[in-house]
Amino acid sequence: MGFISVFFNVVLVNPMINILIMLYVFCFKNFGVAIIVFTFIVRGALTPLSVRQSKQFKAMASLQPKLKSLQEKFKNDRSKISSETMKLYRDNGVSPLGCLGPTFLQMPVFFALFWALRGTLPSTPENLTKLSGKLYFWLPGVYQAIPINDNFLGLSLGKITTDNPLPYLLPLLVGISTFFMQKSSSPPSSSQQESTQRMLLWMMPGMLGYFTLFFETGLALYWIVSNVIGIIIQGFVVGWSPILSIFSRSKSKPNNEIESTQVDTQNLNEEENSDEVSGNDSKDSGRSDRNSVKRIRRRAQRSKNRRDK
Amino acid sequence: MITMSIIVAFMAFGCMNYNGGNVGWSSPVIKDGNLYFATKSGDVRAVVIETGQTLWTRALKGTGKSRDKTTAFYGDPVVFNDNIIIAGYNGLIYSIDINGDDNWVRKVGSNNVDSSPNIVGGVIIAEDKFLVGASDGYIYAFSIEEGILDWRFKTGNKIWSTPSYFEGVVYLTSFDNYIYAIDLIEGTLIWKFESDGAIVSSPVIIGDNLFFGSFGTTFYALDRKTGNEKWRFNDSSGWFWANPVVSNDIVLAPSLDGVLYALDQGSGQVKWTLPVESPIVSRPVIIGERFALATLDGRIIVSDLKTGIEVGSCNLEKEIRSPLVSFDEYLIVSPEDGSLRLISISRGGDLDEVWIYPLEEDFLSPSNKLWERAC
Repeated sequence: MGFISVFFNVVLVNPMINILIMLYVFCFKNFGVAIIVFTFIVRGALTPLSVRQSKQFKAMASLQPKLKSLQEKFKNDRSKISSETMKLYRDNGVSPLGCLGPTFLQMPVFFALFWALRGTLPSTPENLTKLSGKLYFWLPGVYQAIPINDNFLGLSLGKITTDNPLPYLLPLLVGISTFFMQKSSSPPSSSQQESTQRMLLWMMPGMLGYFTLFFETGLALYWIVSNVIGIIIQGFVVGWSPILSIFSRSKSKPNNEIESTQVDTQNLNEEENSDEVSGNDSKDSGRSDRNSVKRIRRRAQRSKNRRDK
Repeated sequence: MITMSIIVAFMAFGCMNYNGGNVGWSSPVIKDGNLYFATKSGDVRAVVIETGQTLWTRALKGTGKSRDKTTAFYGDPVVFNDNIIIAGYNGLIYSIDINGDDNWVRKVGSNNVDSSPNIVGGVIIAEDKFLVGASDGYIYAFSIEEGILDWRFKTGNKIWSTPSYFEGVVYLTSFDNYIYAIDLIEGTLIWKFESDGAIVSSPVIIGDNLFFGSFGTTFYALDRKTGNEKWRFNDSSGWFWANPVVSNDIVLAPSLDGVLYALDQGSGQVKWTLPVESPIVSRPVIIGERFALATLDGRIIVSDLKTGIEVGSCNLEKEIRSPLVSFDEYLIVSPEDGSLRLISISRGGDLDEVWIYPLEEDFLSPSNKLWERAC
């Protein structure tokens, strides 16, 4: 355990602390700007992984109708469902691990960032005494840059969020940005999973916003900027429809929504069955994605037409 | 969702393990055979040195919204005319009489009772005033009799050090990289000197010389009257945090790079070095021809002052940041476990714990176990 901790600090946390301080020096000693630039760098470095993950989610989403029909078809044979599901994924070049892999790769980076930000913005004299040992002596200007001026737009980035003016603003922004981030990157799920997902969609941002109250404001800033970048990446890769659907849904009447969902589901099942019968599966997953998106649009248009009539 | 779940769990774990880290590192002051000190639980106590028995305990609370909260203490208390004066991290300065009765409380910063800049350094008494630096960058001078603010002087950043006083001049270091010489009566600037980094160590004045180290990893000797540099030492690879100690012609400069540098007072040349492989945050003390220092990882080392050769040591295995205090052949150490230890140093350099406060008959340690002797 001790070795892991040392390795984690030496390989991830300490380099991040030194990069943050160098950025602070280069960003005219404005630590808020340094955190924002740093977030861009981290997100930039992780972009290939994020894009790959988004593409995998998108591909999985396009297979959702087929998965539903498989579940219907083999509803009494669980092993058959799983073998057919894996076959479907394999045939379409989708790897469920491809969705999770990047997530797990990002975890150590996030944890290291968490400690790096807290280490760079020591909120107590005790913590400042620990910072010296984490700095690279050979890096010019790093030693002289401390103490960091943590003032950013009237907020003290080194203070616990509740100590700042407008103490609930940043947790609120963390919650909102996390909600949109989750909404834009929610993976496709079965109907049983949907209720769990809906609950998590509201619960997670609330909890994250609440926890933010107990940490340094700099962490909240990182989290907000990171979420905004993540939403933009998702938007360009997957499309903006998950985000836009929040606003369009809120405009429509609830009764219509339920009705249209039922009609859409019915249509989906019909079409999925016809797809399966025709055996018209494309081996080109990219084309398959595009086709499925088109199909969904056509269905939505048809159901809208029916309602209008 | 998985990412979010892991992150939320991680942050919840972080919340549970986060206590803000404020415990303080104030050291005791000795007066008439008694120790007066601030505990890590935020009260001030009087203890008989010989036995470790508690004479009295006084809980010190905040003001306004914090009226029920205690605070951490970093600066050492001072005793003046049978009064103990100590500054809290909450920006309040408390005066208690020697019997433990409250005298008065003063605050720095604005008149808002809910908000005060933090105080990390200690209070000094200079003629008819007491002075303290604060995190708002001001040094405050109050009259002792009335406790009324006499003047204040603004620096460019936080002040975490205890000011020094000599012959009508207050010497003050700041995070803005400067050391200031200020007239005590008027509160006006006499001179200032820019170093290569923030300064958290208090200046030490010996004769016409003034010594201090900076976060720029440089140690300085200045002419205290003019502020001109006499020499500098910059072979350290860590910040100078603890106050230096001077004895005869040797300046002991403890560094966070885990080395104690013994420098020649006149030239700044290295006489010897003592690598201890752990940062030195605590101020060392001179005990006759020897000195004692504490490392952050909890070791107490006694060495020969002329050569730096170690003659005795003891490992408390508890972080030590508070300055060491000595009297006769005894050492008083306050590690971060909240205990206070009286350690005797034999002629041969052996260390032996005489008592550990709180004593068994008072109460148990925070971990609900009796304190264990380490040496």
